[in-house]
Amino acid sequence: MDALMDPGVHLIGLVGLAMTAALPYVQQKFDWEHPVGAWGLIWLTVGCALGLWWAPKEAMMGDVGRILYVHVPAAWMAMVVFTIAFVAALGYLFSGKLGWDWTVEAACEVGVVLNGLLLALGSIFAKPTWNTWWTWDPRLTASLVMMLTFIGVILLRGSVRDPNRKATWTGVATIVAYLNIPITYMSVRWWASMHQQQSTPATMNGDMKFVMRLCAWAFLMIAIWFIARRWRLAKANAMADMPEPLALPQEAR
Amino acid sequence: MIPVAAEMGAIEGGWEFVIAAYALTWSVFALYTLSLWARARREES
Repeated sequence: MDALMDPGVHLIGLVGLAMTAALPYVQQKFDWEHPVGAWGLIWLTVGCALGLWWAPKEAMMGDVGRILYVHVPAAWMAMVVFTIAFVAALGYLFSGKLGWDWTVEAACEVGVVLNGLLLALGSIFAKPTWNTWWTWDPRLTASLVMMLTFIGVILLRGSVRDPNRKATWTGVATIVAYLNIPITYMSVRWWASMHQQQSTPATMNGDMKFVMRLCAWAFLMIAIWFIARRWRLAKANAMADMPEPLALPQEAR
Repeated sequence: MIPVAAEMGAIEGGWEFVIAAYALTWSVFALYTLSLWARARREES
């Protein structure tokens, strides 16, 4: 099972992404992100079903360990989406193109949603395993700071009216906020933490690894769909906020 | 009832936490989708 499924789940993911990318060019009916989101939903349904009823119990945590299949992908995708925001922030600051800025706006918001989900899932996970809903553990605290800093970026963005200044400030603030991501990732290694260190494929049961990767692909596709839809909204808002072109005086026409 | 790690270390039960986690995931995705749809509609009108 392990040998069959381990590369297989990645193949399924890559083929799915390629198919969904090609589909709109063939049919010209959908925005490209809709098939991606649909695949994500299908795989999340399958992944959740397998996580609940097919995957084996975790050796120490028993059935509670099934929370891993949504908790870990939420953590991974929050970091991936914040990384997209970081790259887009650099893209805007170097190019000045507003498309990058709309990507920053979209990715920051989607990242905060995933980060909030991550913290809530972590809290649900912590109660049966640590016997507390919350503790100021380095990993938990860093994850909370990660969400709060990106909420700060969104609030800062909302407080500026001039489009260019808004984009520049958002880009700089996003880069500053991103500095905490490596700290969050490494916090379980750098400090004594109740949170376990990162598992590796070598330390996981093959069936558990398959479900984990399936759910991770599902989260990734749903996150891409969210970012793309939010990007379109950011673009529409920006267009609506732009001043009407002023008519030239009669003598200058 | 909250399952507590037994002396052997394995946790028994806890399905209510598992169901809560999966339900929360789907709820957050559904609510954010609804939020995007509502904002897009408001922008169109």
